[in-house]
This record gives sequence, C-alpha cells and structure tokens, in this order.
Amino acid sequence: MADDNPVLKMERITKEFPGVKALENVDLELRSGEVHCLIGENGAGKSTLIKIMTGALPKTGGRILSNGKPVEISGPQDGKALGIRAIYQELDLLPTLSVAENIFVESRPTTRAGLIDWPEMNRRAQELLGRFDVRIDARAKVRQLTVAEQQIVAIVKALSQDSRVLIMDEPSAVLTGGELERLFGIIRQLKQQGAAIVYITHRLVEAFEIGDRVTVLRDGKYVATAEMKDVSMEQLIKWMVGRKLEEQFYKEKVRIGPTVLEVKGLTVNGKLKDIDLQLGEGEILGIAGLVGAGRTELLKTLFGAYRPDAGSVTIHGKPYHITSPRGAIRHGLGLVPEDRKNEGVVLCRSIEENISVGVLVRRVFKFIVHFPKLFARVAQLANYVGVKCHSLQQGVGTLSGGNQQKTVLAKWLASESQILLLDEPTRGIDVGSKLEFYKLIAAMVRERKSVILVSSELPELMALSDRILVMSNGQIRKEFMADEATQEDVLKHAIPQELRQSLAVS
Amino acid sequence: MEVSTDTPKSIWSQILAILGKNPRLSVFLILAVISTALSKGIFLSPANLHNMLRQYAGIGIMAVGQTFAILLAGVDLSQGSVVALVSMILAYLNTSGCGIVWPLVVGLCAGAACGLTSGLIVTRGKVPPFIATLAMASIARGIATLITQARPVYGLSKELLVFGRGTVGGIGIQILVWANVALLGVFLLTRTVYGREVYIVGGNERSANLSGINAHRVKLAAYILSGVCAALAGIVITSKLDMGGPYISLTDNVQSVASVVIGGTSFAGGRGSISGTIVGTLIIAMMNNLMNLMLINPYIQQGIIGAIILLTVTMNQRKAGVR
Repeated sequence: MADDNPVLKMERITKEFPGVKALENVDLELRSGEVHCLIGENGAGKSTLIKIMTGALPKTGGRILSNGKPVEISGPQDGKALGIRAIYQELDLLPTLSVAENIFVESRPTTRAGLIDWPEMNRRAQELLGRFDVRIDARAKVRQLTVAEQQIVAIVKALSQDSRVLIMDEPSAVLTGGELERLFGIIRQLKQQGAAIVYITHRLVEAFEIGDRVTVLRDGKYVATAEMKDVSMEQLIKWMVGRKLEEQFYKEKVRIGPTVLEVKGLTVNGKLKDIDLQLGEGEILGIAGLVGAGRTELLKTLFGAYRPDAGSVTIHGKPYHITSPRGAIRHGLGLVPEDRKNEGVVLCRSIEENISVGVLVRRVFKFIVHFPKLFARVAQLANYVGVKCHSLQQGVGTLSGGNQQKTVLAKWLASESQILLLDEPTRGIDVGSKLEFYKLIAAMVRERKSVILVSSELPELMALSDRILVMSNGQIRKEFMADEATQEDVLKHAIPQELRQSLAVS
Repeated sequence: MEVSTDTPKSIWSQILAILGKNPRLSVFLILAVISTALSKGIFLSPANLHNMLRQYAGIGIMAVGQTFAILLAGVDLSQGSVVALVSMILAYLNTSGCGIVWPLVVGLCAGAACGLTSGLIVTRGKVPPFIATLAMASIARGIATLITQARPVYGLSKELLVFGRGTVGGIGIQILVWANVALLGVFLLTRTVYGREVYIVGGNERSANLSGINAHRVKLAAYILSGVCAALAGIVITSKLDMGGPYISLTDNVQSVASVVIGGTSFAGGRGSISGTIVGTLIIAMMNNLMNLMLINPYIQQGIIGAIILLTVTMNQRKAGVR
C-alpha cells in the first residue's frame, strides 16, 4: 500500500435523479488510518455519496481511484471486492436468523464435509462480540435484540470481514454513552490497523472527538475538507448551513390578522409535551428543530393522526376536538406530509383523482358524483398550482417530486383548507420547483390562509416564516421573530440540553 | 361515432387500434373465433351461448363482489362457503314451510353478516384478508354442514326454482341477475363517491386516511358487498341445482378470484374494473365451454384453466412494469 496514494479517492462525483441533481462535482479523499467525518444537513447528499462508494447506486459522472488506480464500482460486489463496507442507518440484518448467522452470512465456516460448522461459527461470533464488551448471545435471534444491540451486531458483521474502508452512517443515533465509548475504542483500533473510516454524523461534538479530517457537503455540492484540529465548531456550522439568501426564496409581506388557531398545553405522551402556540390569519409560522424533536408529531397531532392526551385547541375561537384527519379537514386543516409517496399521494391513480379527493371529502356530492363539475374544479386547481403534465389522467407516479407536491397542495385547495400544515414540503425537490412552491405559499397567505411550516433547511425556514418556534424533545424551547434570529441562534436552541452542555465543554 | 366510413381499411385499422389497447378484449375475441371454428359453429349457437351464461352466472355474480375486495388490496376466500351456507339456509327454510320470501331474506342477511364479520376482522382485528376470509370460509362451511348434519336438502318449492330455471323474454333469470349486479357494480365504482374512495384506499391506504377517507368503512362495505354477491350467487346456484347442498361451490371461489385477476384487477389494489371482471368471467366460461364441446377430459380442463390464469397474470405484471 503506497502511503502517498489515498486508499480511495472520489473525484467530481455527480449523481442525477430524474428532475433532481443529488450530487454535483463532489470530491472525497480517504487516507489509510484516518477517521474521516462526513457532515452536512439533511439532503446534502451524504447518503447518496456513500451509496455510490459501496456500489448501491451508479454514479452519473466523475471517477473513483483506489490506491491511485481508476476503478469502476458498478455494483455492491465491486464495492465489497475493494474492501468497502458500510453500516447503514437502516440495518440490513436478517431479523429471524441468529446473531452468528448474520455476522457470517457471507462466509459461513464449514466442516470438512461441507456442512455449516455451527460450534465454530458461534464461537467466532462470540469472540468478535467480546471485543465490544457487550452481553449478546451469538445464538440469539436478531429480532430479540434492542436496536442498539442490533447496531453493534451490524458493526461486528462489518468488522468480521476484511475492510479497508468502513463507512458508518450515524452509528451514534441509537447508542448510549457507554456503548459509544466502546465504539470509539474499536474505531481507534481499526485505525491503527490501517483502515480508513468514514464517519457520518449530525453531532458535531462526536466529529471533534473521533475525527481526523472532515468533509462538508451542502445541497449536493462539495464545500470543504479540513483537518479536524484546524476548524472550529462555528466554522463547521457556517459551512453546513451558510448559503447566500438571494433569489432562492420568495416571500411577500402580508398583514397578519387575528388568531385563527390557538393551541394550549397540547400533550401526546412520549411525543409532545405542553405545546402552546398561536397562528394568525395570513401568518407563516416556522417550526425548527432536529430530526426527532417532535415537529412532525405536532403537525400530525393537530391533523388528527395522533390522539392528544391533554390540551385544548381552538379554531377561530371555537373549540376543536381532535378526532381524525377527516375531522381536521372539516375544520379547514390540510396536511402536506413529509413522506410524500406513502402519505401524500396515491401513486397509481391519476392527478385528477388525487386532487378530487379534496372535493369529495367536503361532501359536495352526497352519493353520485357529478363528474363534469368535479373535473372542471380539479382542472382549475391543477392549472392554478401549475402541475406540469401531458394530461390530468396521467398517473401521479410518473410526475417529478415537485409536481407531486403541487398535486398534494391542490388537493388541500380543493378541500378549501384555511390552515395548511406543511411538513418538509420541499424535500427532494429541485431548486426551480422549490421557488414555484414558495410562490404558491405566498399566494395562499395573500388569500388569508395560514401556514405552519416545518423544515430542516434553516435558510428556507427563516426566509419564509414570519415567526419561528424552536422545538426539541417534544417541547417548544424558544420563539423568534424571523427577522431577529440568526441561524446559529436557532440551531443552538434546537440542540437538546444534555448535548448543549457537552458542546460548551468542547 | 361520427367516423366517416368511406374506406373499409380505416375501420379495420380502427378496430385493430382498439384491440391493441385492450389485450383482454382481444383474448376474448380470439377465443371466441377459435371456439367457433373448433366447434364447427356449435359454440355460436344461441342455445349453447345461453347455456354457458346460465352456468357461469353464479361465478359472474361472485366475481363482481370479489372485484371490490381485490381493488382494496384484499381478497374474499369465503365466497364459495357462503354460497353453500346460503344454499342450506334457503333449502332448509323453504322445505320447512317458511315459504319463499323469508328464506331469501335470511339468506341474503347471512351473506351480508359473513361479509361484515370478515370485514371487521380485517379492519378492526388487523388480520390479513387472506387469513380472515379463509377462516370465515371454514366457519361458513361448518355452519352449512351443521344445519342438516351434512345431508343435502331436496324438494324445493317451485317458486324458488324460478331463479335458476325461469326465463324472461327467453333469457335465463340468473343471467339477468348477473347483468343487474354487474351494472350496479359498474355504477358504484365509476359514478359514486364510494367508488372513488375504493380506488384511493386501494391505491394507498395511509394516504387515503390522511386525506380524510375512512378506509375502514370503505373496506367494511366492500366485504359486505362481496358477501351479498356470494349470497345472490347462492340463490341462483341452489335454484338451478334444485337442492341445498353443504358441499357445493367448492371450486367456485377460485374461479371468482380468477375472473377478477384475468380481468386485469391488480392484486396490489387500486387498479382494475368491473368490466374487466366480466370479460374475465366470460373468458373462463368460454374456455370451459369450448373444452366441453371438444370432449376434453375435465381433469385436464382444470390444469388448462390454471395455465391461462398464470399466462394472463404474467402478462398483466409485465405491462404494469412490476419491479
């Protein structure tokens, strides 16, 4: 292994999905014996880059060098042959098989007769597990383990094979402090053996603790690579979020009217705690927070998908009892869900039908549908939101993400929603469609509708909102007027208390 | 159609275009031509066609109800047993001097009750439809045999035989029942709010729920419809057989599901139509009829029907671009 040549070098990697450029000219260089942190916001392209490295996704452009020699990674087998292993967030374990079987799924030890050597397999698995100092029985079924234990099994599985590049996608998400320490111990051990480790994380503290170098991605583009010891936390945050705010967003100044929605003490056990908020007519209320802070749960609870355990909600001063999505829609609410394909649209049915659901739910027709009337209204709305299609009979599954999202929005315009709950509405949508979507939001508030907007993209949230609530651990921590806050302020309050303390230390 | 008919060529190309878009219709027509040719014209004789339709009316009626269950990504495997249960109820009550109205009412209610139960187990109990209706099949068949300790019931009153043997204007009454059920199904599915909801819930239940559609109610109604259709089929079949039998319609459920699937309704839900199902039933009917005319061994016939089902479904999957 020549020392001056990096183990793996990715140059000008580009990946295009229909309608979206997920990666554009991204570089990444991995040296033997280093822990290389890969950071960036949601949707920055970290996962896509990893998938290209392992061969799970083909790249559209760029080249990959292994020890200075160009290589083609066109399938998972190629990635494995080069010694590239990944531990994904969504664990790829077989839940009904034992721990040992999972660890040796690719190369089971066999006896001379060619049968599986169970004692040997269990012994070796137990030995590998022992390095983690955890009490996991190699013969236990994987589905009986906790998520943290499964994570460890996945790590052990990756370690059992000869790997020159080991990728860990947010391994700390489910590990406790002690388990994390042990993981770091193992990582240092692997480092000494000369492996290159790619460590993806949202928690910058961890990056400082374990990382040697860091590469930052933003919006599918390469931002910077630096020695961990040369950068500050502030610098990293700036690289992650700091984009110019010109022309990317669209907002009109709208007079904010009287309160239309008032929430007091809303609680869903284990999800939301004591939420208070008011929403004015024509207002866009932004909700910031990290993944798992309870933002989606707040919107879904208001929309009737979860039953609240305590609290009261009034709409236009009248009490609103949360029962079901149907009830919420009758009260003028509409939800654009985060998981568009599974919750927002019906992919196998036409644009026309998807939008018409919004009309039908208002019970315009008692039993028999008057189709000319229905489709005239639908066509009008599709035209208004600007769905780009050959015909409205086209299946929604054939549309790009942006146009699918416009279809969802048109459905809620059809149901005459007055309060729109938007959950990550621009995720996975290309830049052009985003701008159109912002203009639609602006048009809605101009027509005196109100919006609650959840977005992980802080610049977007800050540019669009009038007011911002910051959530963490299911609670509202802080309220800002959008023009008074900086991204750093918001981010600071979004990080849970415990982590904030360790941040202050480092 | 206001198409000009100056050149016969254009008509043919138009017909070909229509057939190209409707592969099932093409299969149907090709089968019809083959049947006619191979049977030396007997197939097309009014008596044969009439006979064939009378024989398959029961399955046709079941298939209409089955379409709703399958459109909702479910299936109803209890239909055949419901037919037997309704048959026994009908025959038992009729021969014990309850006249004709009460047996019919009770029979239809029994079908609806079976559907309701299956539906509740599927929606409230969250049991997969395959299991729920399979269990229902066993229960319904069990009750059917229990009524007379598995003895068939003969000697139905003449009024009851009308459904399977009577005609109106020369057309068998069961064919008219089938036609009406089918028309009602088409109407429900294409013209009503309920029909729209069936397609949306079948396509994506989560999304439907978050759009304010009560998916449970939609499914419940579908299983009741399927049960009622099975009960109607039970009435015409019992009437035609002139007996109540606990072991009738043992293979009819397979044919009902096959009609729907050959008719192009997706097992994944959300796609399909009643018109497709009707063509599906007709294809099965024609296949059987043709093989009977050709005196093919009935045991071989079953295998051939199975092969046809596989063939059409494979074609459908290809067309839908299933991963």
